[in-house]
Formats: sequence, structure tokens, C-alpha cells
Amino acid sequence: MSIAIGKRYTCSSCGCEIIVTKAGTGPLTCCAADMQIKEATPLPSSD
Amino acid sequence: MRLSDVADMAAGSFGERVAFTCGPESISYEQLAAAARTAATELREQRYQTLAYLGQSSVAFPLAMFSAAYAGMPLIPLNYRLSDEQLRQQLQLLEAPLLLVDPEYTHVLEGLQVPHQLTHDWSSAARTSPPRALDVTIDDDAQPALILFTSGTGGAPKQAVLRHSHLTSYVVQSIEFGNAHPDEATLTSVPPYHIAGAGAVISNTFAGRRVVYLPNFSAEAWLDGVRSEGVTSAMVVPTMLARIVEALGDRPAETPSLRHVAYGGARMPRPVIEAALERFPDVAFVNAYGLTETSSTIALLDGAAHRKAMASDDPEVRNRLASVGRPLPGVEIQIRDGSGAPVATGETGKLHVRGPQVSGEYRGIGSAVDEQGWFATGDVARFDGDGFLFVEGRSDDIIIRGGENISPDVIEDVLLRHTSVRDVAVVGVPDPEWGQEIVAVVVPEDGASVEEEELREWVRAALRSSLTPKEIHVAPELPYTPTGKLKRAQVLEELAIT
Repeated sequence: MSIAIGKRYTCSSCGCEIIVTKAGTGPLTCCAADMQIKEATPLPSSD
Repeated sequence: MRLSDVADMAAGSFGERVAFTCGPESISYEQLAAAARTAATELREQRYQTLAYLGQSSVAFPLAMFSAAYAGMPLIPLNYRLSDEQLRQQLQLLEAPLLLVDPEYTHVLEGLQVPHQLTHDWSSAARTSPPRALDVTIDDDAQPALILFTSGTGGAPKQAVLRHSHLTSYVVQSIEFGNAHPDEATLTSVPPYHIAGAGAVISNTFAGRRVVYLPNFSAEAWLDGVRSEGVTSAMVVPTMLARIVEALGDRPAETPSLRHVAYGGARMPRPVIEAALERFPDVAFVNAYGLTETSSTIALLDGAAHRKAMASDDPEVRNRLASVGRPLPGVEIQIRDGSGAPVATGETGKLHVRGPQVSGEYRGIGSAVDEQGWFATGDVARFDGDGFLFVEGRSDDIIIRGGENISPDVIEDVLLRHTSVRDVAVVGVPDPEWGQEIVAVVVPEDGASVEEEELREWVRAALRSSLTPKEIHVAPELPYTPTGKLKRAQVLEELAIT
């Protein structure tokens, strides 16, 4: 399970959210459980 | 999150990439973060409380923005197109500032005791000095990050305060970190004192997209810049797009690298965007609607919606070219009537906005946001049945004739389609019978003459008689703010004199 730059993960227990700034191998864990990937809404650049 | 976190993230994740280019000068994300930390240490040691910037776009501008963020003080970009007197007044309002100034504007400082350095000298020193570690790390995202003087089309300019949390919420909610391909580059001609100029620094640093600055806009320089730098996206104000389309004439643009063009800052005339869609057949145009007080974009009409509208025979779908699209994630928009109650879908009212990127705060005045977090934008708008937002203008500009609310934009678009009309302003003047009457001020195309009765008939045929201007005046030019907003109040004043 690889972790890619820019992906977001959330913890379903404590609600914290992270943005990946270094690629690596997962899984990412928080509160003793795997974090959930958060689907991004793709938007065109407006500036 | 703070703006300095955005710089740290970019430096840590794709630090070797070129971040900003202006003419022969470039800076990478790594160099940008290192120089900003060095400059921030110096700013703190000298006990400055504000960093002000009176200059054109250059590599020094993002460096100033991130230096101020690391140092824990706001950046205040000033509008170099203002008169010396206006600039002097603004400079005297700043708290313990260091002013970065381009050589062509130093004459403004005569007689004032404002500590200052030449923009380029300051930037070179920050880049070549031995790197210094910051003495503190500030993690308070409620600190002011940016103070912008609003353009003031309706009165004296106010100082809009944008805190770190407002500016970073905007990028975090709308952009995926590092999502730009290493070859992407965006061409920015919007000046540093405009919210879109600041937005471009933050968004593109977060995305990892190189920014190419074009400080002195001309249509030819813009087209050359797109071709020579392999530019993939650009942001323009409507007057710039009008000049680009005009310069192309009947020729296609021939800008193969260009894929996205965002526009905003003022209303886009329909004939201009239609011509642009034809000249740039492979470009996705994005209409971005926002205000200084909302940290830039709050709604946008994407490229696919533009193309669908352009290709449609259904007048309702076609009309979406005049829409600003749908609200951004995290942004709530409500249209309210005069009593403050939400209106039904399709009805026009006052546009209110709420969300983490909305500031609505002015220095020395306080917050204009109500208890539930809503900010009254001063714009008049409506949603159609499919959720598309139409901004009809500033509430002060709406003409009320015989009880009918008339948006001047509709009449202006019709007049602009006439071959002898280069530019036009439609305003409401006091009238004893109707309350207000419609008056148009027209700028003729070079060498063309305009016949008042012919233009009135042109509007009547396209719209209806209640929307036909009672009078049409001719003027050599119209008054605009430096960022392309029509100054209707001045048009009205000049009409009252003549």
C-alpha cells in the first residue's frame, strides 16, 4: 500500500486529517487503526 | 495552517522545482523557503511589524509574502497606480513598516520617514546572505497574513484583513497538494496588490506549479510569453482577454501548450468570452468569482460548462456563459431579499457567503460578518434551477425603473455587439416619472460614428422597450480602476456635469 504526495487521510476515531508531503509505504495509522483515504473533489485551477 | 507551512511543504516535497520566473530571474521552492526564513529573521531583529510592498510582480513578491509569514507580520501590497498623494496617505497608516519599493516609485517617499529598501536589493540580499535559522516558530493561524486596500469603486478604500486560516482554507479545500505536473507553468499578469495576485502565489506554491510573471501586460507580450515559456495555464482580468482577442483578429491563437485560462476580477462581456472560445478552441476557460474579503474565488464555472453553453441551441443553457458557475467546496452561498429572508430559486437578491475562507474584516472598522458567519458581498445575484449562480452586479449599480430591477450588464452586452461600439457603460439617472431612467455612455470604435436612434433601435430589437436607454451619450473613453472595474459612480458624476 503506497502513500502518494498530496493524498489526504482521516482518522475515523479522533477526526484528524493529514496531507501527505513525502511518498512512502503505508499503511498510515492513527488511534491504533488504519487511516481512511479521503477522496478529493477535482477542481480546475482558478488562479 | 499558515502560509509559511505552504512554503515548507513545497520546499520539502518538490524543493528543486522552479517556483517563480520573471524575465531572466528564477527561484526554486527550496531557495524560496530558505531566503524567506533568512529575511524573516532580519525583519524580527529590526522589530518591524509590517512588511509593505510597492512594486510590480517579480520574484521578490512571493519572497516578501513568505518572509512576512515566517516573521509573523502581515504583508501589505500597495497599488502603484494610485496617485502620490493617495499612496502617502496609505503609507502613513502602516504600523512600524519596512517598505520594499521599486526604483520608479521612490519619489513617493520624499518628505516621509518610512524605512525602505529597494525591492531587488532586498531580495538579492535575502538570497545571497548566509542562511539563518528562525528564532521562533509561530503556529497561530489567526494572525493577519495579508492586508489589502479594496479597490473602492463605491467610496474610500478599506483595508481588508485576511488571516492565515482564511488564505490556507481556500487552497486546502480547493487544490490537491502537489498536483501539478513538473512541466506545468502559469502566466500571471495580475498585479501584487490584487487578491488574485496573492492567490496565485499561494495556490500555485501549494500545487507545485511554476508561476511566470508578466509585469507589463500587452496582448503581444502575453501571447509571446505563452509560446516561449510553454505556459499551460493563465489568469487574466476581462480587459486583458478583450485585448488578446482583439490582437488575434480572425486568426486562431496558436498556443499549443495552453490548456486552461481563468478569468475574474470584473464582469466578462459576453462577446469577449464567445470570441475567446472561438480563438482558443482547445483551452478550458474558467470563470472565477470572488472578492478580496473572501480570499479570492468562492464560485467557478468550469471549462466543460463553457463549451456546453457555447455549443447549445437552448437559450437557457447558452446563457450559462454569463454565469459564475457553482460554489466551491466549503463555501455556502445564500440569496436574500430586502428583509434578510432567503429568496426562492430563480429570484434575484443580495448575495451572502459563509465559509472558512471568508474574512469580511476591515482594519480599524471590525468584522462585517454577522453572528451566523454570513458576509454580505454587496453583489446582487440569483441561482437558476440547475444550481448555476448569476451575479448581476453591485447592488448599488442596479437600475430601478418604474419598479423593475434592471441589471446594466444585459444592456451593455447588447450594445457591445454593435460593430461601431468599442466600450459602453449603462447607468441609472434620477427621473421624476420612473424613479430612474436608463442612460448609456458609448465609446465608438476608431473611425466609427454612432447614431443615437440606431443604437436605441438595436437595443429595443434585442431586448424590449423598457430596457432601451432613454439617452445615449458618446465619450472618448470610460473610467476604470487599475484592475479593470468600471467606475460607475464617476460615469454618473460626469453625466451630471455635462
